[in-house]
Amino acid sequence: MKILELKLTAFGPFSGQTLDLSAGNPGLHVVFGPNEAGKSSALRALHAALYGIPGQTSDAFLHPYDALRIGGRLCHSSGTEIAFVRRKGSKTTLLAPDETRLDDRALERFLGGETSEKFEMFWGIDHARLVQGGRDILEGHGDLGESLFAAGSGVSHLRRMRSTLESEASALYAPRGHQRAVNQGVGKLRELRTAQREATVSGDEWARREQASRDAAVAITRLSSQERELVRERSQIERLKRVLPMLAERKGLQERLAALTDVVLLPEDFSKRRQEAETALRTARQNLERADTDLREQSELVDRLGPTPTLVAESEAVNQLHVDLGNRRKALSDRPRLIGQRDEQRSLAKRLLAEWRPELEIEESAALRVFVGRRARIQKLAAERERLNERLASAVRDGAKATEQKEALKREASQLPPTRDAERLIVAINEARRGGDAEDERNKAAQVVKRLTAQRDAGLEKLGFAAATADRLEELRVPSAAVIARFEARDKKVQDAVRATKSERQRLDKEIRELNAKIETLHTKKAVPTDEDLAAARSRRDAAFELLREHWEKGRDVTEKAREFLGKGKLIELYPRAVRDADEVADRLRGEAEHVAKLAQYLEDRKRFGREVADGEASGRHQKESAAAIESEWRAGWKPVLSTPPSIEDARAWRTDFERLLERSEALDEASESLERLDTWIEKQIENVRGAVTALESDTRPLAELVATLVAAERLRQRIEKENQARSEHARRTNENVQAAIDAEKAKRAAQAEIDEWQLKWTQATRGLLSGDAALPDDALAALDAIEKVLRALDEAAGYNARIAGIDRDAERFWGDVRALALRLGETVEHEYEDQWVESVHNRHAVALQEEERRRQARERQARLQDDIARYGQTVQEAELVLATLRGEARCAPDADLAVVEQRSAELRAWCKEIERVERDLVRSGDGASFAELEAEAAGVDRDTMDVRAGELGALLVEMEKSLAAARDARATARAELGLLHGPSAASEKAEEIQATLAKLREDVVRYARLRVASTLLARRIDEYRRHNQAPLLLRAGTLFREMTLRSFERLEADMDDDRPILIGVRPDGKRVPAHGMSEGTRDQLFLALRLAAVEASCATSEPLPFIVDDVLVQFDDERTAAGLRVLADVAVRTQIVLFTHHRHVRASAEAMNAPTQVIVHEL
Amino acid sequence: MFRFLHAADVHLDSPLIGLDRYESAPVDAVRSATRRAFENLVGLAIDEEVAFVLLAGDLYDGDWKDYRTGLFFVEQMAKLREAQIPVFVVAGNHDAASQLTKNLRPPDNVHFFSTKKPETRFVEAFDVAVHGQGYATREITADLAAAYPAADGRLFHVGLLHTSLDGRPGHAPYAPTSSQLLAQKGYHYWALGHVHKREVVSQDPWIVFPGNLQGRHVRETGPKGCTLVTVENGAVKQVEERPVDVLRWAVSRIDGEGASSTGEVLDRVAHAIASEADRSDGRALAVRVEVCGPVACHDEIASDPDRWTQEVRALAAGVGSADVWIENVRFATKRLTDLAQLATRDDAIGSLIRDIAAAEGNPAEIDALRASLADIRGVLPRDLLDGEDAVDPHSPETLARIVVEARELLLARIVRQGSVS
Repeated sequence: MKILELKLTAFGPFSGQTLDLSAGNPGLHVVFGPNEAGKSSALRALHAALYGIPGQTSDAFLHPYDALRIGGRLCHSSGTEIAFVRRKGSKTTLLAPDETRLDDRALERFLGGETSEKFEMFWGIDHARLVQGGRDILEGHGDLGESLFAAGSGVSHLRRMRSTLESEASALYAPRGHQRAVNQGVGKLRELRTAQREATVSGDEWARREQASRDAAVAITRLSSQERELVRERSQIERLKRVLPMLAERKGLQERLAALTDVVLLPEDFSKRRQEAETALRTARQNLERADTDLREQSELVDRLGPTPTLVAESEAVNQLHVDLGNRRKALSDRPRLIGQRDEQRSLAKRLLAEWRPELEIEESAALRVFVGRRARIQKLAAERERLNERLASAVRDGAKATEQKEALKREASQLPPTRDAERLIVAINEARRGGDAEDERNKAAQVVKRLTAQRDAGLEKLGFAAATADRLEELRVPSAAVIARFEARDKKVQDAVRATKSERQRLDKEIRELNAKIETLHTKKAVPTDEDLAAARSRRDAAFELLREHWEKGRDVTEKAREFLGKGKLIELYPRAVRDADEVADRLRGEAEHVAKLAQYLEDRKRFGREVADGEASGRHQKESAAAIESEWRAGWKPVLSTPPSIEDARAWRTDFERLLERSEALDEASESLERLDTWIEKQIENVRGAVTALESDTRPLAELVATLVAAERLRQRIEKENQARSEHARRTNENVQAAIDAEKAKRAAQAEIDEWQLKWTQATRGLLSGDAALPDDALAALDAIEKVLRALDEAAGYNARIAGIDRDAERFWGDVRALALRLGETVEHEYEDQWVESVHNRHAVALQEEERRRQARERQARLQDDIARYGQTVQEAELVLATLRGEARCAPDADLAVVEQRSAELRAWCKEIERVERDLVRSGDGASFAELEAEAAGVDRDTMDVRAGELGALLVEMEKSLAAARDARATARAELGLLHGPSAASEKAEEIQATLAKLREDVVRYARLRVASTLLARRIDEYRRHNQAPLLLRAGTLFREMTLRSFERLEADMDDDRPILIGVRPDGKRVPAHGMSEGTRDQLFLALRLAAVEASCATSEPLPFIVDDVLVQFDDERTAAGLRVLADVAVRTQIVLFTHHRHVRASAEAMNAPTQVIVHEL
Repeated sequence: MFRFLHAADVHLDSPLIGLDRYESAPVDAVRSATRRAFENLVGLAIDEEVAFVLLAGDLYDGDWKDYRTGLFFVEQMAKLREAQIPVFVVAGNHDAASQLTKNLRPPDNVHFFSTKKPETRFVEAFDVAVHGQGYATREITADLAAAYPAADGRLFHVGLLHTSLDGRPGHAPYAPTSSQLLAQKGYHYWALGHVHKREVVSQDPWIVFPGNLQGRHVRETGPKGCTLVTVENGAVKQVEERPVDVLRWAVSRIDGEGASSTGEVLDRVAHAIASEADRSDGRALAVRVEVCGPVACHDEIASDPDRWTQEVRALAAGVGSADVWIENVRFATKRLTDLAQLATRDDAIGSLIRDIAAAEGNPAEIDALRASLADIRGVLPRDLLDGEDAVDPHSPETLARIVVEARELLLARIVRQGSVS
């Protein structure tokens, strides 16, 4: 694939630039960016155009994301081309130049199936990768496989990648590495398995521990029972030692008690009960005496106070009269004021009545009360009258306004324009418009005709016709395609023969050149001796010998002769040389017989080739004749058509063009016709419209264009429409005016009718309110207010009168009450002193009440004392009864001394208590045995040996306790051991840990294997790649390297270093230089040579792609830069190379190469 | 009306397999999982006041010797005894091999059926007859059910049997029998064990594998537990699955197609893990993550799968409501461009891919790869060389998988190295 064009439409700093990369074959294109930014952006643009703009891009600073556009034109090695535009996006990023959508995979074929990453990796190189490549060669000690693989894949850091794989793998596992994950895991697993085994508790172990626990329990049971037996015996002895004295004491006490059988055992509270009875009797008797005395005193007091007086019973009447007296005094003082107020109201009423109805007496004024009830109605009617007046006035105003308007309308009507009919005009406009934008269409048609005419003329010229031929194109008898094909075949045959002859001639020339060179070489090496040379040498030798023999045998001086034959020198010395020379010639003749034969062969070959050349030249002449014959036939065939026909190879294209010309000519005819049709139609429309306009406005100016005519007509139509609108508006307003006048008249009449009706109602409502008949609303309302005031004053005067009468009635009732009370008390009273009498009775009544209180208290006390006397008597009797009962209890005579009896009883009680105490002690010390059991036990014991046995038992028990403690310990231990077996299983925890370790190990093993296999695969692939590609790559890279190093190296070769193939540079003098013996710059050149060789190799087998070079020559001096450019130009014969640079010296070098067809310089 | 519980394949104290204890792994959440699941079973029996509990074999792992495990079983049975719940047990193939069964003295509410001949026990309060026979040896190839007595028609009959029935993939064919034969016995319910996946084989009569009580590795996914059966008027009225597991296993496949970055892939992974965690009913979750599909960031992932595994694990610590343990992360993503496309050109990369593809069928290559792994293979314990989770680097399957992974690793690194520099 070749990039013909790279369009930097909108990308990074670019707007609309284009890189034309179509020149060259395919050529080295040096793209110079004046600054690094421009160059890098262009590089990115190139990649983005081919493979899409990355999601995140720094190239959208000038153009927004959605406006980014780059594009180009590519040419496949098969010759097909594609033009495209790339936009930013996730899909459908590939467009045709007209921005229609292209298949996203449209470029795939052109990219030879290379992915974006691969393209970047393999089909491009920059300075950093060049330097890295050189460094990798050094670090790998020139490892041949690695170097070739790195160059053949474009992978940089191959060496680092390999060592990373290895180090990652060995971080996981190494045969003797203890710290590695896998080694550690395996070790941990082993430890865990041991731990698990140790933590496992077997069933037998469990059974053993359980048996131990059971045995301990049995031992404890046995020992406990023995101990209990000993304890029992020991406690029996101890008990007897305790109870024996008590048993003896109890016996003595029982004997004493037997002596007191006749004594009565009195209850313990006997004494207390007797003393209480005696005290109660004494107290009761004293109280009785005192009560009698008090009763006598009270009886005397009652007698002294005498009976209750009558006045006490009249308390209510006395108090009521006293209250009434106060009220009566206040009423008498109010009465004169009330009389005054009543008179004042009456005179007010009289005055008001005299103002409005002087003919009425005050007593008759009640008749006016009827108007108070009508007040609301009268007020409503008064308001109604005002509203009716207003309505009438408004109707009158409306009438006047309507009349005024009528006049105005009449004036306007006289100024309206006359009526015009626009119907015909509208029809004409519509008809003209139906043709659409006819003039536009006509102009387009005219342009088409113009364009087609120009194209036809150009076609005519291109085909070599005179312009006049245009009309008779169809009649021309152009040779048919078949005729052309026939000529082509004939021509091709002749041309093929010419080419074959020519290439044969070139081959022969080359062969002859080579033969000449070889012959030359043989000659220059040393002239090959001939048989004649040998004969000459031998004759010289024989001559010398003859001279020598002559000198020796005949003693002649032969110096002169020798000089003649052999040149200067003594004969004795010259002879051996002559012998040697002859031998040498003989030797050489024999030794170089091969050379001789070769030379002979070469000479013979050269002769043969010379003959072949002559033959070739003869065929050439023959071919020329054939070609001339074809040419003249060709011209003859074309004569009727063209005086100078196209060449045979161009004829097919000429014919295609001619056919196209015919098509265009036809199209032109059609277009001309349609233009004519449009013109006619437009003319007609203009005429129609103009006719309609003139009918309406005769003085209109005619216009030439349909559009202008239509605009004027339309304007006229709008004018007429506006006039019609004004007329109809005037008619509508006139109608409205007539209606308004009628409405005003109607309203006036209605208002008058309502006023009449109102007058009737008013007269009814106000009749009798004022002296006359016709009352005005305002007067009627004022009179109504005054009458209300009169009636209110009269009502108040009547109220005062009623109160005065009440006061008089109360005074009468008071006198009656006074008289009634005096009668009940048996007293007499005068009317005029009634007040003083009431006061005196009230005072006396208070004194009588105090005496009555003292009387009541004395009577109460008397009654209470009588009750006390009865109660004390009762108490005396009860106490005497208790004492009699106590004697009965003590079974003694009524006169016996109860104190003595009580003392004997107390003695008996004391002895009984003593016995009880001894028995209680016995029960406590006897461990719950009955007295009989204790006595029986005491009877059966040997008191003398008791203590000895007790000592023995103590010792036995101590022993027993020790045994028991030991047994209990044993049981606790066994139980604890068993208890440990319950709960979580340590073994299962270890098992879980084992599985976790295995899981990790499994992952680590897979990781290790993955890395290890990757490393092995890579190593083997590298080696394999070397074996398959070593020879061709080294050969080609060697050539490139020689050029780049300015022939300081001759070629590249493989060598062995520790059984490892390595890369060696060979100097022209045969010296072999390993990679580490080269300078850094030379190693960079070495890597570049290898990369270029790999790129060429790839182009040979698959679609070649452009090789993108980013400033790799920057570190080269001018001479080497030139050499580098030469090498790139050489490779650019195989595939396009685009070299981006921002260094002027690189551009200068490229320009200095002066090979404009192969090295093309561009500027961004 | 009464209810009973049916469980099987308890495998007490059997460890969980495949859980690497990486740093943020919720180790405590899954400790003693089988024990806690069994405690849940006992608790459920007490809460539901069941009439009896059936254990259809494989209480322990066959090669498990720690007696503490047996004691734990006895303690749990004692709790059921307090609640007056009888327990019927048949020994399975694992129990037959186990030494634990021999010395163990379970409380008197637990009955181990004879291993010599079929035996019948009655639960008189509910008119139930339970028939069963345990395994005397590890490998029973006879049809034990054939000798079980026929039902007499008066009682509710339950058959307790540890069997592979007519064969279940992944399970040894022990005590083989057929649904037809079981149906012919006239029982109401066949309580089976041995198959770890829950299955209702038939509803007339009911033939049920309750599955194991607690999943122990990633091949045992989903809820695990026991079966609660309700019986009314002498007939099965309801059969319910009751999960008692404390840790769920899940495999989560995430399709990365369309994801533009590793961040987006991780987001999808987080989302998938969170929704798995939501499904685990608050239990701890062990999940295997498998990422697949063509993704733009394939090379970034394939060049360092270990790093992305760590990323996923870190991610899991922060998502969802439950404790999440990432069992493993498998990356099977594809690059957007076809590998074959890269292989077409005759250059170093093309030949690398072609050669690796060819290497898979080339005995000399295989031998060379094996030789490079011989060292590590020599130190690996047996567990890693045998069995279902084996990673024997010499086995053809493992080697094939590793070669594919290695190829992707290599290509990804080459491509990244090439385009990064």
